[in-house]
Amino acid sequence: MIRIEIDEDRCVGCLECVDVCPTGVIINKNNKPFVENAERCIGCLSCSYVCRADAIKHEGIHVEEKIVKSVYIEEKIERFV
Amino acid sequence: MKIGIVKLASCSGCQIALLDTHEKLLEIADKVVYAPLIKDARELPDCDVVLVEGAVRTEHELEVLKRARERAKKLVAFGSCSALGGISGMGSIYKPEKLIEDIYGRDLDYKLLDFAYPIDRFVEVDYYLPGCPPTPELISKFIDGILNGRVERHDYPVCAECGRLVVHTKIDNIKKTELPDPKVCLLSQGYVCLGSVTRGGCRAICTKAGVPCRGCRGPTDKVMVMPCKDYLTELHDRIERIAGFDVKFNDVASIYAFVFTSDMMDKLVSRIKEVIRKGRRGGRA
Repeated sequence: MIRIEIDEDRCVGCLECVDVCPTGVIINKNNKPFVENAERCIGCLSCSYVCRADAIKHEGIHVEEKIVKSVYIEEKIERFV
Repeated sequence: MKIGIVKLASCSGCQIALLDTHEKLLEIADKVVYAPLIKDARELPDCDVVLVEGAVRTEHELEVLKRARERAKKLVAFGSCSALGGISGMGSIYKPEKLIEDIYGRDLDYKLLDFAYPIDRFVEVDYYLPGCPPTPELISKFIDGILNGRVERHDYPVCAECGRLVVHTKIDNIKKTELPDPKVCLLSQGYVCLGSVTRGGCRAICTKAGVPCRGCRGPTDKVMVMPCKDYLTELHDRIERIAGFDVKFNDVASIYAFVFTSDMMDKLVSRIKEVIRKGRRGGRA
């Protein structure tokens, strides 16, 4: 099962993730995003893509985001402090 | 532990930022063995860490850089100029002959390279520490990390540290001069702030003071890993989607300025092919 974690310190409350989620996993609760039915998540990672503060983390997903990384960039990216 | 600082085409601002580290400077100053701005030593000895500041603009600087790589166990690209091209890289807009003619009005004894390159075009770099300049806090944390052998990365954007909250409003035109509201996101007030695409770690000092982010720390991991898109298009798409108003290419160009000559600029799908081809030549199936 996929687990979604939202870092509340980082969240700026733009609610883009609520709009973009195709299965309605992330809902608006008091103007803050809230994960309700995590089992419905299909792992499209749209919420992670639109998040401007990089506050959403997925766990237990088999298609990693890393699949789109170019090999050349990935070697380099780890060295940026 | 010996630290050397090498200066190439730059403004020395990063070295000044190093001097701004307060109590930490007492620790660092003992370890610095070579630094043109601080110490008297004439030649770079063998060092554990060499911080290279500035882009490579002349042939002389290229030699200095290569020597620094030989003498260093770990080479660090210190500041945006050496890591990404930075402000020095902006000189690449003009032809070298025109630059020399406009500034000196005569021939020089040495040759300029075609562009002001970031240092990773010529040598291998162990760490990149971008920033214009990197904040003193960031520098002292980084040097601590190198001493302990564990360097902390900042993979999040400036927005994560900023603390301003987004309010959905409709914006007619881009603001540039008025004073912003201190608690509301600058983008939702109509300022073109590049915080959402810029690497964090600077504690968002600019946006907290009400100045829109200019993107001096370069793009985040998220922007870098997007395939098939160059930085500028990706930045523009992201900012426009988040802001909800028409953003022109010129408005997002300030982060482009900092990464102007970096060879990550022309990251394309063809790079992947290159790597695969290299792997094939290496004998792998």
